[in-house]
Amino acid sequence: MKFGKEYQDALIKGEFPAQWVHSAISYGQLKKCIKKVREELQEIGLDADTLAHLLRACSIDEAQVAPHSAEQSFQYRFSPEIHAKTTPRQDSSEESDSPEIFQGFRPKLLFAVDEESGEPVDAYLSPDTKEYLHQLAVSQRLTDIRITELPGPSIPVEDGHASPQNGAEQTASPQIRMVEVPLSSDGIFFKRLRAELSGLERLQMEEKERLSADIRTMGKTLSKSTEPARTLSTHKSDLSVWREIFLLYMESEIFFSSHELDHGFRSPKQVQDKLESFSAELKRRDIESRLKRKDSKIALNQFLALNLDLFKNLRFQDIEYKAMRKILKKFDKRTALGISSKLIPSISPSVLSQGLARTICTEVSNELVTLVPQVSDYLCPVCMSLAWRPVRLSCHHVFCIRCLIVMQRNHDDHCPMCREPVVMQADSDNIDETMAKFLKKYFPEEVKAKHEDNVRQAGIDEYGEEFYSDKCAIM
Amino acid sequence: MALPKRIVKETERLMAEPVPGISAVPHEDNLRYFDVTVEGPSQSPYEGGIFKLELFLPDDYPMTPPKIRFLTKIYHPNIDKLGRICLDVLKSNWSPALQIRTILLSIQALLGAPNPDDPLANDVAQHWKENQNAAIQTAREWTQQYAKPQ
Repeated sequence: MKFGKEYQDALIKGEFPAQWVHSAISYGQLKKCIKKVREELQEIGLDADTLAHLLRACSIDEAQVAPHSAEQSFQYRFSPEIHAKTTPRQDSSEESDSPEIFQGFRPKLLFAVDEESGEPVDAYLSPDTKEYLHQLAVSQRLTDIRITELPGPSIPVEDGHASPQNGAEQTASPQIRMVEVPLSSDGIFFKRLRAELSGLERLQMEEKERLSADIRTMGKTLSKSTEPARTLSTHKSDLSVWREIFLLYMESEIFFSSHELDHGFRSPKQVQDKLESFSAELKRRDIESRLKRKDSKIALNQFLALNLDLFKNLRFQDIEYKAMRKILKKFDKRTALGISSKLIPSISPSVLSQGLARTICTEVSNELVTLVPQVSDYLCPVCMSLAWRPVRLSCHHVFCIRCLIVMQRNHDDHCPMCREPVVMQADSDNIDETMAKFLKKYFPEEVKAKHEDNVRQAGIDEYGEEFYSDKCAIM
Repeated sequence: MALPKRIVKETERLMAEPVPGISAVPHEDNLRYFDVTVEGPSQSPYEGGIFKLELFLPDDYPMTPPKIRFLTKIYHPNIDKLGRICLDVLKSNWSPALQIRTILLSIQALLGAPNPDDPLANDVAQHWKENQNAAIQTAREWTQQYAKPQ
């Protein structure tokens, strides 16, 4: 299937809001523009084959001689912003309706001609084209006010008074100067593409705002429903269920992976699979009915909707990015002006990047996930259980009291984390009471389990393996 | 005796998020005993080889280090004929905060950076010091001969 058709289908089937589809890159229109550019070039004998040949020729030349040398027979580039802003353009009919930001975005096709005679330097061109370029050079020289050569680096400089339409450039070599071939449809193409890309950028900003607002709203609801129970009888807390939800969410790594094997962003297909298995797992564990508070249930649905929303945004971005790359490639294929390699790197970082996913995921973890502390952040690095009761050594590393006692009994003086000789000096003053309070408040069940385990281990140490076995034993 | 929580957790993570180039699978009948394979690091004489090791977690692990031994023959100044490894973090510099995965990474790194000044296999270390190129060549040949996957 042709990409144009595929693209249309994707936009229609994607169930995107009308506003998004409206801002999408108009692939078909841009294709028509490319056709016009091609016709324009063909009229003056510069079809894709000819240009491709010239491009090859100058890359060979460049390898042999210094860059910016006179051997470059043509260049295609974008005029610096300053010209378009300070000088009036001839084709003002187009210019008038275009917004401010596109002003500097005017492509230029420049050809090298002999300074004296105005003859094109490249021998490959057909006689007609040569004649055309010659004419152009002569007429442009007549309208030029003055060409100046500034001292310094061998970068071509242009007289500030010359309008870009008639602008002739002088390169470092005095025998060669550049003459511009006037084209109009390429300007239309890039103006259009640029306008659509900024439209998309605006849309992305709006979406970001909207999602952030959603996250904040949810954060408020959540902070109420996860508040630890103050008194067991009157206050219902869904803290532990939310902990389970977020743990599952983080382990799913829906939008990007932090694993060593497949590090980085996931493709839309992978995201979809991950999202589906996440919600399936929530159902399987019967999470929704285990939430006791009404606002918790609402927050859970908000959370799922938020993720679906973000996913939809990602899919849209993916499609648009593909469309942009394809249309620029097509432009190159039809004209051989070699623009996509120059343009894509400059556009991609700002527009259609995966920045949205990154920002939103960071916000989700900052605003929501931190409301619910996870056990994994409070583990003893030796036994990998909750660090209860927490002992903070003078090097500031925290261990559970049980592991610390074992270390002291073995006379291991070195801190397992930093090897500072501080283990033996620890005593009851090293118990971190603030942290103990916090753990008791946020992890009541885990603290209870770990406490029982500590007692059991201490019993085994004192009385042997049978102390806590299920069987009845005579001591 | 029940398996400590720490060993269960480490095993789970090794299965769920394996370290690239390293695998460690516990025996079904003894969950403290692991079959390990380590890929030779690229740009070392062990490149392309897959080395088998055995790893055992003693009763007082993690207070004492795991016991690890190469099963595949290897020509390395810090590994002897019996596969015993001379590596500080396996002995005096062990810390209970180290884990199976970090120790296996250290062993993989040791393959990439042999240390003939602290030898375990004296003859190999001597060879390494006197004629490094020839020693590396031998290590390469041994890798081809003994560490090639079947």
